[in-house]
Amino acid sequence: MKKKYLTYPRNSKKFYSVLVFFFLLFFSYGIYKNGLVYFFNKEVQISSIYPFFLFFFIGIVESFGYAFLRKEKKDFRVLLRGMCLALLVPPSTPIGLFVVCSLFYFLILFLSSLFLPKISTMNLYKIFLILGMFLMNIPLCNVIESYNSYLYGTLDVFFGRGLGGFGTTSIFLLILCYFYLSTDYYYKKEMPIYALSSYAILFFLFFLSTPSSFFLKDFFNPSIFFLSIFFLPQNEVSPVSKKGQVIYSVGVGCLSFLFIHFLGWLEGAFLAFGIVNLLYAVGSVLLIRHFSTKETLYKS
Amino acid sequence: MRKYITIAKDPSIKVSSHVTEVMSPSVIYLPIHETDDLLITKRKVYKGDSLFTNGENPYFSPISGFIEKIVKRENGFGEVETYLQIKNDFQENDYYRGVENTTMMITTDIKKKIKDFFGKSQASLKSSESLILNTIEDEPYVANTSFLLKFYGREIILMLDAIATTYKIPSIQIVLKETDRDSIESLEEILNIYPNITTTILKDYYLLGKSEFLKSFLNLKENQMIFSPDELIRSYYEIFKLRKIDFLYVTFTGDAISNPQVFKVKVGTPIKDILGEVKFLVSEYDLITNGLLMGSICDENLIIDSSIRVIYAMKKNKWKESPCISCGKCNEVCPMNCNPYRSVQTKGKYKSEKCISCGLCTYVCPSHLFIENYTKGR
Ligand code: SF4
Ligand code: SF4
Repeated sequence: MKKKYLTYPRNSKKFYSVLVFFFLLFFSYGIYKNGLVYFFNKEVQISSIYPFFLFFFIGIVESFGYAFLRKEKKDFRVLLRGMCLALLVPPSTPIGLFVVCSLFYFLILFLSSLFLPKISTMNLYKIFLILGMFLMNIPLCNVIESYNSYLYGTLDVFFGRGLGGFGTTSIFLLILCYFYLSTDYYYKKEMPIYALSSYAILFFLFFLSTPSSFFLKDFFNPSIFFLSIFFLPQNEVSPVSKKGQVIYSVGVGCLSFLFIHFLGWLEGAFLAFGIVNLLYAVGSVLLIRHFSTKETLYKS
Repeated sequence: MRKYITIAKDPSIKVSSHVTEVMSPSVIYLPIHETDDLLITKRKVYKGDSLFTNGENPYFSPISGFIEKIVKRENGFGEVETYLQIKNDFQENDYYRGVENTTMMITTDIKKKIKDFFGKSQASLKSSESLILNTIEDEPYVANTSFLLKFYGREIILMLDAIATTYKIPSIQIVLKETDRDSIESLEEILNIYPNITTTILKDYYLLGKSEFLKSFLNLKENQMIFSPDELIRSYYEIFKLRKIDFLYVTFTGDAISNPQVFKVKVGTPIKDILGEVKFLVSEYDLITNGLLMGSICDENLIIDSSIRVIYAMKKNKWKESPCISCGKCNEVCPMNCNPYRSVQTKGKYKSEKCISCGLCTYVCPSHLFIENYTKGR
């Protein structure tokens, strides 16, 4: 008989606790750019920042509630899941819509574990949030930003002026976090590079050929950056082989470019990832079923 | 390009710091099969007497004493095996009866003996441009080679030089790992008088102790001869000292004991004889033979044979298995490209014949799955 006695040294507790710190930074930045800065300019009341705290609170409580019901280990990952639910929320989301979408998220999380384990449920949650906002005719960024967006320059956008989740728009913070994530042995650090470089190549090829419509700030789309760094390399929902990772990431990068700059859907990266991820999730279920039907022996 | 990996040291497992001799077991057990040919007719045996053979490998008595009986007993892995039980008379009477070659010179006679001894590897030796001594222990915490080089370094190097002289091989390379400071120090002094011997110090990568991996790491030819210190000391005894070696080193360590040590024991010694020398920190522990990555769990019935290099006493396993998260690290580290991930996904329906049970996939798995069970379809 054999057992495992040695394991790769990885202090996941420490790692995730630093990630919690990064998420708190995202949160603080979200509070600042969507509320405090306007409050100091006397454009809004202080009460405009309360919903963000409520999102956080509800997200974390729901995440731990689900962990409790499903008897999951209650660790930093559960906390991060709750925080992520809140950070992805566009700033003007009504609380009711957030609660409905987040509960829906836990339902699909449960169903996916039964039928499609490789589907990115957090991405589906984001798509449903956007759909909900669209149906309710609410802008995806805060009201003041939606009026002033033409005033922002490349650096403004790089540091976080733009539409997306209330705390996930700062590309600067996202890149910082990426560097931290890449220190983890189990993080597929090449995938964001593949996706973002294919997106960048298409962007520069296309817009340099039509210089009149080239604005560098258009390149810094927070949704493609957030998605490439957090959703794409998630182990559970991405291919294992290096080749698969390249195809998957490049697919997401190219499709995102198409949706964002051709169709003008600024949050189109989530849809692009949703499509590629769905194909992969279905494909992998079929593949596993194929290999599980009969015993196979791999010979040299 | 193959990805090499270093096994991290667990600070709760200490490396053995001294050798304890347990060279007078009261009884020894040698595994014998019904098909083996008995070579001895009397009860009284001398040290070095040939006892039985399974066609290829004759078994020699490591002690002098009396053949008591053929017994069936547990082998330490939950199976019953047949053993020849020999009682020690503690006389150490020698079959060789004083015959000993005292010369350290590589004479024509020695060369002839070397040619006879290495008959099977003749072709490889004749075509070799250099000889390689691989001193790397893959298993962390195992100090057998360090002690062998410390106490028998001169003999091992002499043997290596004798083989090179016999087959006119111009150069000798000794491969050491950078973390094995003791072996590096032991050899430094000896090698001064051997201008034809060079040392190569490698990083502490797992599996370089195996010849086939060392060959690919150093880009060596397929038929390159690589010796281990164990092989050389055995041949030294037979060729220079005209007798069979009667001892072996076994490291005893683990996080469940406070005094790790290397035991110098006779083949056939029951493990119970050495357990008394070990101080356990806990009452519940697992005994594991031959490595924390490659080894198997055994019990206190184990008999030490020449395949046993290390015994670990480890506190009961603390990791729980959880579902695979598809990180793909098992595939990335597998040196044989077995696709262990697919075996896990198909719950063992997809097996791999090439798996060498190196344990690397299990080592890196963040879900603590015992992946070998899947690759072997168990
Ligand atoms: S134990 Fe087998 S499957 Fe696992 S890494 Fe080693 S050779 Fe590959
Ligand atoms: S290392 Fe473990 S968790 Fe990662 S893919 Fe292999 S079996 Fe799954």
